Amino acid sequence: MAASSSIFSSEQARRLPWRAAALFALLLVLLDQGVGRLVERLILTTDSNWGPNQVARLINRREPGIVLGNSRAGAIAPKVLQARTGLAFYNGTAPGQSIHYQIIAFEALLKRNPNLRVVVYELDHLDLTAGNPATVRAVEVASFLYGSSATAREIFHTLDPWNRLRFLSRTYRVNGAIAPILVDHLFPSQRGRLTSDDGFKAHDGSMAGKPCRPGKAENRPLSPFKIALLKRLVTQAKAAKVKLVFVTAPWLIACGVDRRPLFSRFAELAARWGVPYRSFVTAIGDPADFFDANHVNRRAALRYSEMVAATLAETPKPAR
Amino acid sequence: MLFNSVQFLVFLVAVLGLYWVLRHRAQNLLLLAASYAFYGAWNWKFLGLILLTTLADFTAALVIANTDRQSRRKFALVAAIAINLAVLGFFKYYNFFIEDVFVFLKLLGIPYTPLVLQIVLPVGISFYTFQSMSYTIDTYRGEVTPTEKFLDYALYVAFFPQLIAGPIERAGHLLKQIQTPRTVSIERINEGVLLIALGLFKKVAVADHLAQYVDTAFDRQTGWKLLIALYFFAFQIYCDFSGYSDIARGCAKLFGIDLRLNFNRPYFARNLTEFWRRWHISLSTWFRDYVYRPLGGKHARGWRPYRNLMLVFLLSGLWHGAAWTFVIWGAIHGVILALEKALSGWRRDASRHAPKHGLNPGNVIAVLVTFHIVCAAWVFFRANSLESALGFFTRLAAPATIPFSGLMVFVHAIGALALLFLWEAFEERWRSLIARPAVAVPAYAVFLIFTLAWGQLNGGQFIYFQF
Repeated sequence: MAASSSIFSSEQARRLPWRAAALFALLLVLLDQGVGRLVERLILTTDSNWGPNQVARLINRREPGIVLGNSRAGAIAPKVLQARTGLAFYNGTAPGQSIHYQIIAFEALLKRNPNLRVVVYELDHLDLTAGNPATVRAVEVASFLYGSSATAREIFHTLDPWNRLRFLSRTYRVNGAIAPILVDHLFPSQRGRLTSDDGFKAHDGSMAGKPCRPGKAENRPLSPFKIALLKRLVTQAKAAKVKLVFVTAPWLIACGVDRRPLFSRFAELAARWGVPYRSFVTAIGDPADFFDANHVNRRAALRYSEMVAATLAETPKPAR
Repeated sequence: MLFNSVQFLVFLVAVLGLYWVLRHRAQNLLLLAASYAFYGAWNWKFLGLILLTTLADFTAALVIANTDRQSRRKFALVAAIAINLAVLGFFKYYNFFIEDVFVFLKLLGIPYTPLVLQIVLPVGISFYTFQSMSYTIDTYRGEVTPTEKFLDYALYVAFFPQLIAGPIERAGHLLKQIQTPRTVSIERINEGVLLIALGLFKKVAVADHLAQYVDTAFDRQTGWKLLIALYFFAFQIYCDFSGYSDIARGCAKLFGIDLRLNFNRPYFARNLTEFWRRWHISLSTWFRDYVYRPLGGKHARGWRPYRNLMLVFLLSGLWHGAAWTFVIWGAIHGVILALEKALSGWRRDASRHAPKHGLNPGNVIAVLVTFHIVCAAWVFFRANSLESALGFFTRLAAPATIPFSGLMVFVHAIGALALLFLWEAFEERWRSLIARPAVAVPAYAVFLIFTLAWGQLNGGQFIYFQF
């Protein structure tokens, strides 16, 4: 076919400002990698309680005892655990965070915290079941660890294959971290106010007298990918000689969905893996001890913490 | 496929790469295929509706242009408008109408069980229907010579950058560009990249951060904390919508096509007349040209100009959504505009008599008053129900006792808002600074990287998709 009747026009393509476009692309890549790398380093110098900085705060801790889990485990008071075990504890729980987040943070902790001896892990029945979409976005606060963690890469690629492309951008991985870094360094007195959710957290308030009704009993299947991550966490803890204890938090079954069959499956898994496990799902049942259907209030938080501490005292001490 | 997604970036780069090696006719074919793929990615089943609208207006315009019989011309016009409005009416207003008929008959004591249907609103339907309708009307008026190439017309209706949320184009502007070969120019590409970067910034760095506070505070907070939520919503909806328009215009420029300006710093308006010349310009001019002026506009006799104005704004409210809250939003604008007209006079040339722009106490007060009127109307626009809107004003008067849930959202939102203000207040200066590619290239790179670092990247879809 003659060039003049072709549907292709090399003339138009030639007129495009390729040189400027290439320069722009090169600048974007350089800036992206440079800014991303700089912010990654800065994140690790921060101590604020927001998003990626909260993960940095956790993996910078040097206490021998760490509590992991999400909002329900936020009610476990480190001081109560310390009083019973003699070990200093840090509550590194993060609201709404899944096993995806926990395993990435745990691996980073193993690398960075030579004192680590005990981890209390709250098994979250909402998290570990299949098809829980809320966890996809939440785990992205740990994305600044993408470059240094093969597990993080595996998780992000599994959650969304497009992440392979997104995470080519180093700045994308540290999205949301700049503002808290600025606050942390410029207004250190405000760092703890960036979010209301931080470490040990139990709200006041009570469900007593509030109308509620139980939902239909539910026994959803567990997510094979998440259970595989949990097993990996167990294996790594054993390899590092870190004592791992699983717990499940109290739950006001009278006002929520009854998922007790799930807990017996957690018990089976824990027994198979040789991990001590205590379910406190029904340990506290008075509506006056809850500020909503699935979170104990400040009054009950100490009792829950005592139960966890007693479990730690009952179980064998760490080998090292 | 959202503009603020990596999927769209891949899609745009792929289409652009192919587009500029093709000749004119093949470019149009590629753009049409890409546009249908873009829309189909959301819901391919509704592509049939776009095709129906396209076919109806394409055929009607050809009939109108090729016959001298007035009755046949009129029939073609009415038929095309009826098809457009029937599609829009069914998908957008059926349940609203049925439920209101039910309430009315119940008041009269007539037993009636409404047939409420589970209807999914096709995204962008209000935008492309209005755009397609304008073509038939313009052809009927003799303002546009209809095209005989169906492909060109189909692309005019479905051109993907503006298909979902405008700007609502006119055939005299967009179709003409589709029919003629496009050329590359460094200025156009420069402007395109700037608009895309600006639009992304508005959407992810401003609107989506503001949304985090607005979504939690609007139905919960009280007093001045609620007032902040209202201010934030005003900027959220502006940045969300104008951000979309900017990205749409920027993408189009990369294809060598100019789309109409849709927003021009609306919150710097000193009265509502000026506001509507700056806000959603493509919709307000659509109503001006196809509703207001045909009714006689400001030249109608007696009280009719006020009626025309009210009608336009009530329809504009309904265009946004099938709910009484939108009608009230339109009515508020209509009434205040009517008052403005009554006080300042209808026939005065606004541009000649308007006070000079600039930083002076009069202008500052006028801008603030206009902004607060617009904000008061936004309450109805955002509320799910009339009760909720009225409850908002009650809570606004109450003391602010509920604590903030965290400061991070403010740091992000206020930081981005400050940058936006700096851009808008000195836009001409910035533009002259980045006119040279040597400055523009690094400036855009820095701006995009900042947006990537600062923005709320999981903010979700644009507000105006629902309209």
